[in-house]
Amino acid sequence: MSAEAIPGPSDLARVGQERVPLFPHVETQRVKLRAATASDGTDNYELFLRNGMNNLPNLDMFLAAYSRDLASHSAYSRDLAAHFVIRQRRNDTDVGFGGLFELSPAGHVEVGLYTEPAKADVGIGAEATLLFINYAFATWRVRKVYARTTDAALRLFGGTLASIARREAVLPEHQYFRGLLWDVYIYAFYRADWEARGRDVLERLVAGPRRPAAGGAISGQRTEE
Amino acid sequence: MLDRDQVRDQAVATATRLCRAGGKPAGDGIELSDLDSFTIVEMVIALEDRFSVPLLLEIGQFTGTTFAELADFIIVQCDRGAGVRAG
Repeated sequence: MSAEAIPGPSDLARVGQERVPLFPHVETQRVKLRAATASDGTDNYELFLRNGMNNLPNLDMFLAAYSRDLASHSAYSRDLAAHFVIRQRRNDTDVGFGGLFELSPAGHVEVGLYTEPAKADVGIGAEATLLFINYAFATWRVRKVYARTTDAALRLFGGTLASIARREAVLPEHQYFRGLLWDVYIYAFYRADWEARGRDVLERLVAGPRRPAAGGAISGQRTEE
Repeated sequence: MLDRDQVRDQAVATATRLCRAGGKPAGDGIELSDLDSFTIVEMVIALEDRFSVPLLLEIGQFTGTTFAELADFIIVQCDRGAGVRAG
């Protein structure tokens, strides 16, 4: 091995940075995830109804999915690996639900979440989505996180997360929703893409803005690090 | 005192960059109402860093629909922050 091939201190520092494991954050400055319980089931069902989902089972069947004894009998049970209520911290209001479903030994899990636009400030659902995806990668050794969406929700999607989303399948006219048949798109987020680009956005949302230096005036000039 | 047009232009430039990164069309006529919530969140934290002022925690109070109104909002937040520090 030549002398040039021996890593120097700066190389070692870089390697160390790359190996910082993901942390399963459950809150940003504006959003907090709390574990969903059976008592949240009715609220969850009503949110789905208000959003216009018309493939729901009756309420009893839906609530059975929350029961340890009855979940296996519920037509709606989707093998939840994690289930959270999305809380908006500004006013301590629950504004939606989300879950990670069907965790597979093949190394993938699916994310799904629903928020109530009338209750949630702009971007609350986006921040919650980043929390869910990060939680999946931080908690399990999954390679990718799937998300299903339709054209109705696709326009709500963007930023860094959209830049790392890979469309992997289309189910034509798969979903009956509000009187129409919708194509369902299946997107995947890969761990390597999340660690390279997605996690930085979330870490910034968790940490909040950098505080201005004490006594420093706001000049409008960019503060370079 | 921040210049309103400069703040607006900075917001437009940031939004344009984020839209293009996310694979969305972003021409000269980009409007605030064109932005999805993911892009808005990233734009706001970029502007927080650009102007060294907390914005995201206050964005729930923003009721405007244009980049010019967003610029006004940012300037108010900057003035408020400067007032707090001066006090």
